[in-house]
Amino acid sequence: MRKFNYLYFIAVLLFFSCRKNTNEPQDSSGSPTPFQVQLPSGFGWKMFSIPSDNPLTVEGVALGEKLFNDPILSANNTQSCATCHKPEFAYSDFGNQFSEGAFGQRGNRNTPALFNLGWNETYNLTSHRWFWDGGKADLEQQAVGPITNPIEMANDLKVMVQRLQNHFQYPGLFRKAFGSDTITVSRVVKAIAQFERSLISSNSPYDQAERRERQRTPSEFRGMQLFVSEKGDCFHCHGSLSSPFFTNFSFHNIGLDKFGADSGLYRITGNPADLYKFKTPSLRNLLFTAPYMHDGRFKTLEEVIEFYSSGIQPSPTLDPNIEKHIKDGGLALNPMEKADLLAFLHSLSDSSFLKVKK
Amino acid sequence: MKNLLLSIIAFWGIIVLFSSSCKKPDAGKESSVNPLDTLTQFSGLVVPSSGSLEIELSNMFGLMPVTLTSQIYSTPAGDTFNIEDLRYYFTNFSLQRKSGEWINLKNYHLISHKDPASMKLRLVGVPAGHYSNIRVSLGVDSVANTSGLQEGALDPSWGMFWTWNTGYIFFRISGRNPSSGVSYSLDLGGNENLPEVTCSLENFKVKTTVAKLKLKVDMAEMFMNPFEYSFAKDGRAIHTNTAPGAFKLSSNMHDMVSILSLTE
Repeated sequence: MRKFNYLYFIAVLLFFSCRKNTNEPQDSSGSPTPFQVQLPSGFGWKMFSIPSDNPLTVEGVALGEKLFNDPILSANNTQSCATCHKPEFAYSDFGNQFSEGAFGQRGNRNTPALFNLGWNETYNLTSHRWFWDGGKADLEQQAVGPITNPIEMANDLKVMVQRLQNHFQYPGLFRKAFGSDTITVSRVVKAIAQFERSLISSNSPYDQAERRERQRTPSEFRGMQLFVSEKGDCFHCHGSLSSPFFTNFSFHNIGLDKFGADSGLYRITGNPADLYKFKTPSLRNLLFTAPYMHDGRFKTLEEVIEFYSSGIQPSPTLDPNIEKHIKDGGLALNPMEKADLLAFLHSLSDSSFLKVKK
Repeated sequence: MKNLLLSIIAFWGIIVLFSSSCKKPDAGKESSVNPLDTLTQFSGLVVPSSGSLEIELSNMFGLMPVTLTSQIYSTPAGDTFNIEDLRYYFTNFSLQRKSGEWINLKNYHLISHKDPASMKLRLVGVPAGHYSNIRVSLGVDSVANTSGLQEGALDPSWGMFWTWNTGYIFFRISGRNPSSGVSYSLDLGGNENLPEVTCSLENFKVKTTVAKLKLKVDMAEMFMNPFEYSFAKDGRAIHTNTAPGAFKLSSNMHDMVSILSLTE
């Protein structure tokens, strides 16, 4: 794993040094330049929907990235969004089950990785889109949560706006992105959401194989077949191979516990049928986003596969596609099947998406 | 000045009316008479030309005006308490034409009892028309509640915003029983809990472009009709849209606004 990371960093460095940036501001007259999202040509990568009141602009995305990486957003200037959503680990908190807040507090959920977020708004048509429990419908509104949550960045919105307004740089950057120096909460979260929507991960070995730029290893190929079979049964929730996102943008109880400590979607809807349901995460970039599950209980992918193979716990809201395996305790995979599945999952990790820490 | 102008308009209106009644109707030429100006037999509100609406809100609890902290109120369920904080959204004020069409003035106001200035609103852009009903939401419509983040009254810095769950806190009332010290804190929100109140203007007869509307917002209505709300049974702390108490309170709130007066 460590060796892998080292190689990935080299690859990333090379990648960024060669890549030509097509998103340069072109207009010096003051109106922001539209930001072109770079999408691969492969199947399913059609452009996602963007709210009409927050179009992506070069200046807005750049401002959003600066805000995302700036500890000024936390109560005591110690933490940025990137403290836990680490750019060098696909915006996850690699290796941390529960991230630490600005004052050392810890929550009860694992920091999710951030990429390909725009499609969640395109394909999840409910009002439950963001956070593990679907608490927020809107990416702009979502950003207010971690900034103000007392166990995360713990800031007061008025304090945040005042600090940014008094900053030597930010008023000018807001002018470039939004047309005036006035800083508001709405503009702060709009910029952050623009940056988040610009994060596209689409260049994993799996994608390269799809584009016929490389061949799948035999183990990877067997793992892929298992993935889409009723035996492996991953595809019902993590998407068929006709979708490049590896999530169905929905919520399920996968049987982690008989009685979970965290009620999941139920907390938001109050519907007993939603007990212990959590958002299906994408399987992309798993190599960089350990530990796994909403509560980060599994340190390795081997543990995750073992859970699905033999550790399913029954409960009334258990997903039907998991429940059908419960008579065998789970998927009951043999060692070779587990290794093949692991090889396939590894092939979904896109090292070119990792960004060197600034 | 305004009266002079009105009388000139009225004078010419009458002249034109009389002269046109003697002439053959001229199909190609539109009458310069505003029928709303000449309307004399009507009920409701007539706004002859694009105008504005000045609204003054009175927060009450039954017959008593709300006075923060010191005044004690009681409910049919027998709860006794004061009010220490009272804030709510007053939005999407709409007028209904005689024809049935609703005109939404699309306002977003946050009312705070601690801030008397917030209880006087001025809504502009009221189109000319003859209106028979008004409607207002005590909360935020589902579009603004779930998509994007707005400024002004909808800036989350006001604290009327859920950070872990979708949307705004529509209505906040909190306080305590001063003798026992036991407190209550009711935060209402959620698209399914949006109280809309409709009031008839039929008992009024007002023709003006600057209407003055005094409204009573009655907190006592939250705790009765159709559901008797009891702190012991339904909860002293309502902080989610899914709490059964939230449904009871928002259902009760559909008649908590009434018209005190409508004048020129």
